[in-house]
Amino acid sequence: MKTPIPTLLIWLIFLVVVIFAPFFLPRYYVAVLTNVLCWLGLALCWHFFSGTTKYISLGSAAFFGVGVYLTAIFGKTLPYYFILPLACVINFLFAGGVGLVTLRLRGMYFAIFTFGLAELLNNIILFWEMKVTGTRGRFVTPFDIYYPMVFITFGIILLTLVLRKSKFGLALRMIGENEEAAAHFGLNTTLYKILGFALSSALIGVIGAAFAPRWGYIDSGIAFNPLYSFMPAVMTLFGGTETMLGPVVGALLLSLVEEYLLTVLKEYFMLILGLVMIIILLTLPEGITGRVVKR
Amino acid sequence: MITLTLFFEILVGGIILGALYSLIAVGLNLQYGVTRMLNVAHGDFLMLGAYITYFSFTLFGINPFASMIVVAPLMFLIALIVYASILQRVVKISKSAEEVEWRSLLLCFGLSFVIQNVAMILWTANYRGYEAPSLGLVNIFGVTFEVNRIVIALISIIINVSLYLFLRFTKLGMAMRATVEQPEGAQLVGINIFMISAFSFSLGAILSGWAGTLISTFTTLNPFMGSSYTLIALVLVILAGIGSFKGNIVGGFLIGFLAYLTMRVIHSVLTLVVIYSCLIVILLVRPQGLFAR
Repeated sequence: MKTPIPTLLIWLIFLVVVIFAPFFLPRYYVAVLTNVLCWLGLALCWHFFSGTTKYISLGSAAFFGVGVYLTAIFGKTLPYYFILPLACVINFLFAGGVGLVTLRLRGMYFAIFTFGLAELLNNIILFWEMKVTGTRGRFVTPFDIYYPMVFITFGIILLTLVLRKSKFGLALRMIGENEEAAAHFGLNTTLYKILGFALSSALIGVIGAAFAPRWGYIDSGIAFNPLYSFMPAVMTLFGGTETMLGPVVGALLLSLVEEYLLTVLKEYFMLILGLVMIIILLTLPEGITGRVVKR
Repeated sequence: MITLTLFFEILVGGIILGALYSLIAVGLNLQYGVTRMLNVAHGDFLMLGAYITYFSFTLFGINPFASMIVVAPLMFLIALIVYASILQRVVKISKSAEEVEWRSLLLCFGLSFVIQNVAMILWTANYRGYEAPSLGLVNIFGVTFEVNRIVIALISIIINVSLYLFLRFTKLGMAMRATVEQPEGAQLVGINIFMISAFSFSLGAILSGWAGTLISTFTTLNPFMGSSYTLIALVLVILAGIGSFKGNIVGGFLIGFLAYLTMRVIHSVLTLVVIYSCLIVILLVRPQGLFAR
């Protein structure tokens, strides 16, 4: 197993590169890098809970969308740096509620419930906009979100690095390995699962709130795009779920592939994503890092 | 008297919708019960069934209801290929029963994307519809209904009852039920789990294809129409309890009533919200489902 010092060093070098990137990279690549950072953050959040516990969340888009809408609604009245913690708290409570209902039960119920969550919120907001406010979408004041994204993504990296070694992170990993044994061991598995899910979703919400100004205009279809549910899962599974290297490698590679495919083969993107999912799940049970990093 | 008319409309409309819902969900319940793989591409199989009916009607003039005879073997074949070439492999690479569940779940999502987008490439994303031969209108309690809708409800009920009888009284059906109850025990008494799973999966696909046929007679088709039906079916499977066919029918009517009531009284956009509230209640109160033992 690798020592923590080189890991931190690699992250530090990465951070320095990312901070100075806008000074030597053309604008287009900075925009691409913003997307990559966003996906990296989402994949790490997904891995933190679903990757370790194997309780598959298919609802990341719901929390991401709530974050996006918070910025869209309060963007003109509240400062950006106030909305981000607000998104964190609201999504923590929201996901905690979802967890209370579903995480007492087997993983399948959780997956089914979260699967429809983004679609549900999409419909509620559609109805609300149609009947109450009489609008279809909302305008967001656009501005460059590169540095906020850097700050948030590296915050998430640091947090997950620390939490993975903590009692909390170990509890989640134990649940993933053998939940029954964890319960016999005296662990309140439901509590840890709910807290883990709430924290992961809260951070996903922060990413959503931070990312919203990238679009000048949003509607419920953009905010609750199911892609935000699936891509983090696919990235993590592609990279491997055993270590944190998995979601990082998966997110870096697949977000670049996504960027390329969306510009070149837009019509075939979802088809290719589906095929990639099938191939990964059938041929790479441990992800691409699984072979390299053996515990 | 307006409220009484509305009451009857919701009553009959709910029954009609409920019968269809129970057909939509029964295939998924069968598939999950036997194979323990949650086929979230269920609605996409439904979409395929709807398109087969559409093309057999517009190209060959086959009556939509009669096209169920065409839909069945095609769906069976497609599902069998999918099961044998993709899903069955999951069992081999997974280390535990839980891993089979989550791996096959994500796999079915990939499958869903593939089916939807292949359909889009083949048939474009445009909405398609056809004018199904109408059997006229009928007046029930002062409310006018299309006879077609009632025929749809009757066909759904007949399929459900036949399936129940098949599972209850035939040897194959018993083998399937045995696999639902006790996969290991079933293997011990000489049931070939792979064959039974492949058959159940394909039979479930036929049922969803038939649901697609029935749905295509009154709504427009689109490669992405399946997702909303998948959601309804998923909720119904939990509500009914896995492997419970009684629950499936009762739950279908329950959701049907609520959905129709919402559509009629509030707004169709909120149908999903109401169905989801049911799911929350059932997860809190009786997560094993209404009729599970």
